[in-house]
Amino acid sequence: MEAESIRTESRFHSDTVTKYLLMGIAAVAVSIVFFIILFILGNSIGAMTDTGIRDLLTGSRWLPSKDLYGMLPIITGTLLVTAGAILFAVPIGVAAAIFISEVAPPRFRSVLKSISEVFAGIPSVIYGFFGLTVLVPLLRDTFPNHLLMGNSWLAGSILLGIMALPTIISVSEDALGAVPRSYREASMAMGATKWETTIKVVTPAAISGISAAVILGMGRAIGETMAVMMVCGNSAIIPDPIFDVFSRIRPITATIALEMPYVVVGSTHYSALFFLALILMIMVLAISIASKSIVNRTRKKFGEAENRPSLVDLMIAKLPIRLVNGSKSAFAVAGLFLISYLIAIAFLNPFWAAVIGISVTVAVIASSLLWLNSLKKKGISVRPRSPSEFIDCIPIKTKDIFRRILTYLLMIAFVYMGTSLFYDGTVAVMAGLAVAAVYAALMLTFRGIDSRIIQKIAHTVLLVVMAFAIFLLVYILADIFIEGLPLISWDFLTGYPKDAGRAGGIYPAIVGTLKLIVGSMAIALPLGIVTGIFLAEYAKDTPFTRTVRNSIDILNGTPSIVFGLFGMSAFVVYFGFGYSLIAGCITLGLMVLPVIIRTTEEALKAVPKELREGSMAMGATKWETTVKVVLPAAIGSVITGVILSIGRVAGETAPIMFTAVIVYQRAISHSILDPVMALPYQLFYLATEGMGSSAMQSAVATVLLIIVLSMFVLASVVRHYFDKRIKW
Amino acid sequence: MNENTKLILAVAVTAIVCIAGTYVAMTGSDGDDPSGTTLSVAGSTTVLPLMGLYQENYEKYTNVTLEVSGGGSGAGASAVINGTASFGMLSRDLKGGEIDSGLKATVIAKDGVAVIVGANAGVTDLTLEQIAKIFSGEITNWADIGGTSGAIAVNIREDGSGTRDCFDTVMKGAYAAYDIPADTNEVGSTGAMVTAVEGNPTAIGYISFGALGNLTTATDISVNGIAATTDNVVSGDYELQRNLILATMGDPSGPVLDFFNWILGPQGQQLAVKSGFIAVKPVAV
Amino acid sequence: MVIIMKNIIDIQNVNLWYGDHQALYDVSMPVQKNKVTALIGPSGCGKSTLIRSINRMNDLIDGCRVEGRMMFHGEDIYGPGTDVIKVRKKIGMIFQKPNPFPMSVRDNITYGPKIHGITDKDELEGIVEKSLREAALWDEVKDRLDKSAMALSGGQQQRLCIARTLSVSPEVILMDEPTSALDPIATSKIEDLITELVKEYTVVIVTHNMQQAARISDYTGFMYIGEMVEFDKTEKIFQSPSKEMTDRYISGRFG
Repeated sequence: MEAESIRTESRFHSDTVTKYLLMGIAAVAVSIVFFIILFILGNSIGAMTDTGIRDLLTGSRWLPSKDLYGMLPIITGTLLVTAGAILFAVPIGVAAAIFISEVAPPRFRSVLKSISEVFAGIPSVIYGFFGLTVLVPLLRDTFPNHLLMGNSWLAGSILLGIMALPTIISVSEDALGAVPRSYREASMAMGATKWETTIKVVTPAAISGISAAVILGMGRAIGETMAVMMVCGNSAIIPDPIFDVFSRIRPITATIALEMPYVVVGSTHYSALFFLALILMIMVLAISIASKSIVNRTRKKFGEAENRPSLVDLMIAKLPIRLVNGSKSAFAVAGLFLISYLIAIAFLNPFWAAVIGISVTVAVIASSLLWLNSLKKKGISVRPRSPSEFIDCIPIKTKDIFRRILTYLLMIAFVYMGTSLFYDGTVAVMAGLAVAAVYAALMLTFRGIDSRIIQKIAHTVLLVVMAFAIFLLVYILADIFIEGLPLISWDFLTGYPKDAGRAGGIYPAIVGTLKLIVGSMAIALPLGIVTGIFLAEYAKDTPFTRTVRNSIDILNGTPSIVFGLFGMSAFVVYFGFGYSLIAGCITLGLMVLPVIIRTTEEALKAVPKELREGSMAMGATKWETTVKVVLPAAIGSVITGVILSIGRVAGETAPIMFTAVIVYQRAISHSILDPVMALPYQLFYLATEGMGSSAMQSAVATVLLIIVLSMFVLASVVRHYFDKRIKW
Repeated sequence: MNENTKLILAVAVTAIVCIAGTYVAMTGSDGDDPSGTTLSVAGSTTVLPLMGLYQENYEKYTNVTLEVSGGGSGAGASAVINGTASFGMLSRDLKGGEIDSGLKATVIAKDGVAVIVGANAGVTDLTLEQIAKIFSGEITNWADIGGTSGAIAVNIREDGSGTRDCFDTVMKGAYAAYDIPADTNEVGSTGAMVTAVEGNPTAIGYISFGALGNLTTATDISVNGIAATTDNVVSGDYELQRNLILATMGDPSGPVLDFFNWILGPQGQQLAVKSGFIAVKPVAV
Repeated sequence: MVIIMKNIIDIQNVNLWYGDHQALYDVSMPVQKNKVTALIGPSGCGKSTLIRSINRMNDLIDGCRVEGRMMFHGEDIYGPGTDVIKVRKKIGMIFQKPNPFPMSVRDNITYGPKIHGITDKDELEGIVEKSLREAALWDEVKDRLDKSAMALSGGQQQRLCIARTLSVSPEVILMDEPTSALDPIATSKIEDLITELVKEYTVVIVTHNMQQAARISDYTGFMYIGEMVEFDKTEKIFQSPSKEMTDRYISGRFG
């Protein structure tokens, strides 16, 4: 061996070049978010100047043809339909999660989790179709006096609840699974039954994660477009009384989707729709921040030290403590007033509601101060300086009593609200009191029953809930398949549509969907995988990297309708592509980009660092190591993520509605500047226009479902195959 | 070649085959002719089925391909103004603002708006004022106007609908206090209106004459004693009527003009009549 | 410090910081060609840090700063004009946990030569056989070169890693506790291998197993809290150490 010099021959290190190249590509992700926000903001300014923000937000009549842009009913619509969805989804979802995590035998666990994932993969237009054809008529027949047409807030919330279920189930189940075994063992070692352990130890320990699950479910519900549009009735009104679930309602997403087709670019109406999108984004952002802070707190609790304080924590740490506590107290007072005001306004007019609000707030503050005073007189010195400290001061017995009173009050209120829709006020109040009495009686009896019997009852209830959830899924799929499969023939799949799209074959729709998949992947894959590589291998904790991550999170949470809006204003109108395949592909590609980035990053991070060290120690550059060792080792998860994204792209309607699709095409065009037919939009069109036989609608739905579900199966197979081959 | 490489190669080959297959499918000789023109159309769901008929018949003779979507009359006008459609379909005349934006109308047919009721309504004739009061929420039970007792389920079209525009205008003219309550059930297209009224035996709504053929249990009623027939529209006795137009930015020219001329020719007009509309030019025998 | 002949590596007054925390204090040590140099000391004494700075693996850690000189054939490894890729080609490393790539045995061995530019198939085949023979693994794997390396036993995987390192023809092989994850039989096979390898190569080995150091090394350095306490011929260190601390460690009074 000759002694070779170790001096370098080239002037710059290839790894530095690669790093800056990758940084550049990652910066593209940031600029995309920047563009989207810019477009939305820019286009909403018109409405803000023409009508004024106050009128936009508080006006109560939305009638664009008469230049009225009051968004209050629409914003309320989103809040109400989401609240209803959460009420429906949380009990079922958490129960199912508890069942999967704590009760089900381990070998069923993965099956149940897969079922939940299948739920998540079903396109929203299919849920909407189910809602339109099954749920709405069912509701109409069940409540004929209240639901003349069946379209209602109730229908929307039920449907959204079903759609939020998978999110809530999977995140809650993860939270429950993360509770350390030692907690369970400690409880069981004291003689507690499994059920008691579950309900008194494990679930409370996981409550942060479950809250995060609920919040994430809310985010899903807020951003949902197609399903609500098809079943909510779409009247822009505030229900009266406010808890009238039989009322028609219109959320923000449906408004944008319904009116985008006939709005004139540049008009106040156009701008108002963008303002709505802005509000939607703000809501989604708030949810994302809330869920992240909860997740961080959970991690700290269980020891995954996240020593990096968030921006908000940093800012708060710099402020004087009196200011912070003072503002916390101010928030608490304001919150108190707001809650009592909102509850009162359901029953009274604004003036009296305000009076009640003020009285309640004053009463609470006065009694707290008096109570603190009495403590001082007794010699106990307590000087709570913030609301949380104040709550800590309250003796446990008092807190318990308050909690019980609150539970009963809520129970009575809910029963009252529900019953008053059917009967008059007095009957409703009696019903509320009756239910509270029954509950109290049950609580007393249960106390005496043997805990093992309680466990049996509890487990049975959970099983029933789980079975119900599975039944829902199976029913939805079966209903579509049974009606649609008979119509599927070779002619159907390869023939062209007739009669303005209402009969004939769907070949152009299938081809269109395929083209959209290929096109969007062509955009998202290179950009996404490279950015994922950057984040996993090259990124240090700099402001730039944090900006990239935050941008990706924003992209990830953006509702699909906002992408559609952006796609339309940017690609169809501004860049002049018109309704075209290219506009659709770019829009879909951007929508699915954050998923690919995140999947790639996680896949790469899962590769143990020893592999990288082994390669670098042999004189490989970082890029060689990444591409030749790390990426191949992670390829299984990356492919799985790609396949799942394909499934998503195949089923999305809102992003292509205003960018790429038409309903009737007699020949397939070549140009990417021409629009295409696509399966999800075809289904939407047929179902909402009432065109074509219901069998035809089901047939289109069946084909769409088969494509999406087979992507799922493929992804599982790939993941399984790679999991077997690579064991660390 | 080791296993990893083999697998990656397999995936890559599959991907390439899929992409290639898709593009081969697209380059199939499925009736496309590189020298042909593509015209995109959007708008009224009333005119949509007729446009479908036009498409099937016109494309037989020419190189023109039509790309059709719905959205309502408002959407048709906006699409032309926004530049996303070659021409728009409207089931009403152009509004002032649309004309200011440069749109020009070509009338292709006349159409009536029929008032339809569900199977259990029990009425066959109503006055304009009664209809207006029903839609304003002042009359709420069929029994109040001589029908079978039952709550009236009112259905209207969306804000941008040409059918709605015609209906509202006539109603406002017949009853000064005409004002639709904010919580009235709104549907987004002719087809959806048919579904809504068919689905509820006490419902009421309004559709184009051209869609009357889709009714099974719901029925149309006569208005002020005048039946909803094309003759009554021609004679002017049936008040709920409007023009079906095609809107273009500026005067039509080129392939669009050729198409319009064909529509106004005997063949096109006959198709309109076949669809339940009223011709505006002589029809082929 | 006893410096006898021309050293292939010469560590001169090296200080190292991880951020604000100093991990190496003025460490100096020679490494002689074709000899086994061992580094011993209690946990946290800096021996792994030292050995990883020789082939600049510490560069991968954020905030790591090195002062002093480390000469390799008279050129400073940390000098401004140094190509770290070439350094790592000449100075290879074996890790505590065997880390074969999830590829076939053959691909593991040809990885290094390929990234350094060798493409000729016959040449690569030759390298595969030579490296595996030198690592005393050839007979065990010659019939399964295309099977996954992950299916080998722990000891075989570690020898594969050695073969992989040898495939790029290094001059020095650094070993960071190479046998602590292996059973006694595999350990003794690797120790025999080291004794063979040192005829062609130079070996620096970190071990927390004093007996291992005594068995196979020619020179030993004892480190304690970031300082090189004593460095000398192995017999001297183990039989008559000069420093009292060395003596206390060797006799097991702390560790």
